[in-house]
Amino acid sequence: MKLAEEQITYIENYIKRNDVKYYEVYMEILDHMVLSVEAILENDKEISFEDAVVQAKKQFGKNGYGFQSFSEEKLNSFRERERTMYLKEIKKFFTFPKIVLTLIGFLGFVFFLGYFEKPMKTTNFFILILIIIAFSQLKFWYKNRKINGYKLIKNEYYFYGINSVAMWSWFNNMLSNDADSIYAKLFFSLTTTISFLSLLIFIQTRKKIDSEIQAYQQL
Amino acid sequence: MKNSQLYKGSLNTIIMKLLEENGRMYGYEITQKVKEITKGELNITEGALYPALHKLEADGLLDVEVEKVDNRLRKYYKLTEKGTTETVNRLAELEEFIKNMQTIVNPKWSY
Repeated sequence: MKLAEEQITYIENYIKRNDVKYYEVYMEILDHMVLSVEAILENDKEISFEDAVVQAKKQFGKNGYGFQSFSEEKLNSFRERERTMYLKEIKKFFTFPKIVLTLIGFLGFVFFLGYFEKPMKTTNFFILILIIIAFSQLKFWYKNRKINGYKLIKNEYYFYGINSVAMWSWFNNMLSNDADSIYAKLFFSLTTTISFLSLLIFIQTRKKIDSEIQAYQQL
Repeated sequence: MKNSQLYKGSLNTIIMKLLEENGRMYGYEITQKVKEITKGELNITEGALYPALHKLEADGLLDVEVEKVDNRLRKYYKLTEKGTTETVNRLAELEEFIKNMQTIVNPKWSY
């Protein structure tokens, strides 16, 4: 027995009322809930539609804790997947032939800093570039911040990730700003190289997010 | 899930085996298929199924496809190349486990 449009709208609102924030979670819950309610109504002719919805919801979440637990599980597995992907991508920059470019970038920073009498004062320039790149992504995040009133996990993760890189670089710069020793130069060169690599990886993932959002909107 | 402690450790293998046989499946379909095969003896709850699916996806063993069905989006899961190889390994492990359990529980049945 297929549910009517109004009944599906009721389930959509029910999910929204139960504090589901992310589109990826909502999409999966909605499909499962509709199919589950259809089956409950098919098997039990006495049950009301509203009770069938409550019954279908009870199956969700760890030990029946509902949508909230489902969302948390989804977020945790997403974070794990992204972390693995990020580490895998960053490792690629330390394998041949990319390691050559990484080394050139790192040594480039070291030599550049050695060129100035007060080198660490010039590092603010690099940090400014990093921060400008990171904040320029604000428009992309804002444009895609919601689909049908729900946030996208990937978009949020992208935004926080890219801005964390900028903040991390700024913090490292603050640490090494008053130290013009070789150690400070090496430290700054290393952290800035990693920051640039991280930004490159995040910008690559943006393409994937963009195509996924477009696919959602076309469906 | 009936006898949940016994089945818990094998849930991922059950999911992977089903996906190996059926190509791609969505969450609700998996719960119903398990119920159908086991004649209602084994009931996988959503609370157990989805965390397992998401974990397998995070581990790179499953891939997803989203399609529009009946005016809403449906998420299909399928095995990746790594997942297909892993399924073979896990099934072999499970068979070995069953064999060992038979030996322990009823030595006469063992071979």
